[in-house]
Amino acid sequence: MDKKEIFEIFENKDFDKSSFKNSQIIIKENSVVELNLKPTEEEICVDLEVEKYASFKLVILNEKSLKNFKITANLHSNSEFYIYFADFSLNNLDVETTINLVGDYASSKVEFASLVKNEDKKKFVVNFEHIGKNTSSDFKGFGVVQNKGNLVARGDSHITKPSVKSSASQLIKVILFDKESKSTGYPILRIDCDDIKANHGCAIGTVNPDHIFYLLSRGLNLNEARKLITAGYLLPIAENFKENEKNTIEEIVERSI
Amino acid sequence: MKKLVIKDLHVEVENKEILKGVNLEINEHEMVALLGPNGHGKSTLFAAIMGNPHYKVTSGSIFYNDVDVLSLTVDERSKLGLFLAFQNPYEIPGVVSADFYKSALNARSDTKVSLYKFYKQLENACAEVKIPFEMVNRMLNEGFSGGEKKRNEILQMILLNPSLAMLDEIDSGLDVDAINVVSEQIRKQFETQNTSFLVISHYARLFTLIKPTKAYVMINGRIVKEGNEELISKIDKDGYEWIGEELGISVEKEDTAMNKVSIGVCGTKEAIKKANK
Repeated sequence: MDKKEIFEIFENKDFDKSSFKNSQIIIKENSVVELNLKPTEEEICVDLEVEKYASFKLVILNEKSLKNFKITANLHSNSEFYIYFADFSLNNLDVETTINLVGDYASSKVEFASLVKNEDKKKFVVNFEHIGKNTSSDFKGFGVVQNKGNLVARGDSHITKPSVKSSASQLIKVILFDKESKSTGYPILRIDCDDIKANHGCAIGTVNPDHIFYLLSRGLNLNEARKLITAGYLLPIAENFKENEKNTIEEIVERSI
Repeated sequence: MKKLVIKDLHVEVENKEILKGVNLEINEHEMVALLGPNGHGKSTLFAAIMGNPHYKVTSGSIFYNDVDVLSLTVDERSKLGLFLAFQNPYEIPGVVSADFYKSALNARSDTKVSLYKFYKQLENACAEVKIPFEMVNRMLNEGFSGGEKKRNEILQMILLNPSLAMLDEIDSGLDVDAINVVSEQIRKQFETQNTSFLVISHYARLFTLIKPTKAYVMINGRIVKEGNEELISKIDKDGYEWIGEELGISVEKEDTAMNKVSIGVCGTKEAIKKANK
């Protein structure tokens, strides 16, 4: 692989989005950086360092192009790294994030919401390696799968022995709109330390006909009822986006169902 | 005239006939009680009127306002003016209550309700049923107490303003204060909006408060007796056996077979222990 270009980011305005493709990025100490991406390329591969007391929020709205997204991050003490990934692309997608919570009090959250349709296959793999003390990780994955789509969501939180007082949380919720659609969830916790907090949950299922009946009984037609249920899975992530992108997400959800 | 007319209605669930020829009429602006022992078809009647797909109407007719209800979809029945307050309202994760109410209001209007008007309407309805306004931002019925769910049903009734409301044990799980709040709203809806009511309850207290003028008794899947508030009082005092004796019918006992999958983790362990002994 080509040698990656190294970018050192000191504050928000230093960020050139075009650099975020195949690079090594360093969020410098005490920096607070937010990056909103609407990928136009098929592949993004990044090595990331978040230095101590730095905070990095990565917000991705994938409408069409991105097919492969890989990020490996090292978080140093008291740093934060958040990824919010809204995916409405009409193609296969492979996402893999590996976040090493190296320093004490490092924290990270990865949340995705994905719409899968037209026989597309999408895979989200989110790995957290807790190494420092008092680290925290949170993985939330929400999916709506229809028209023979296939969604795999895998969270793997490993709390190593030195990582005392750390916490890990995982939640995967996927709704299937037809019998041909598939989804598999793996909320994996690997715990080598006694003094920690962890929880995980996974719910994958079809639309409950009783829920549909309840909504219809208030005058919503079937399409509106399905849309409302779908919105419940895909819209909450919009809270983390800027106003114009929130509207875009709402419009996409509206026309997707 | 908005009138509900049900003739010789037969309904089955999973090939078992539950309703065996129901005849019933509700006039415009009428408060009607529907009584009967557990498991005799009262809730099935409501489900069939509202169009629950689990319930199969095998024969008979339901007309409301001269419209053939059985030919309509569930949402069309709602738009016709029918409303069902569920005995066990469903928790729907991911659906924000306020979004649901707004969609329901928009569904019955040609133009979208303005956000300001909607919030005022919702704020007033919340105040009427004494639900904190913040609750409308929670997921629909998720984590609500039994009483909150029932109040939420009444809140929806107020918002949607139906011409015929069917209330299925709206008083179960409510404390005394909540029963007073709910019954007050039922009376208010009846008096100010001319909504007709068909109300199932096992407790005379609710009927004392909402004052039905007509009562039907359903036994063995049929309406076997019609009366007024005196009939409600007599049933409250003497139960249903006397009706069976009077009419020469035996009152079928509720099927109390255990749910096959209702056993909990501890129960499972006990069962395994016993089986291994």
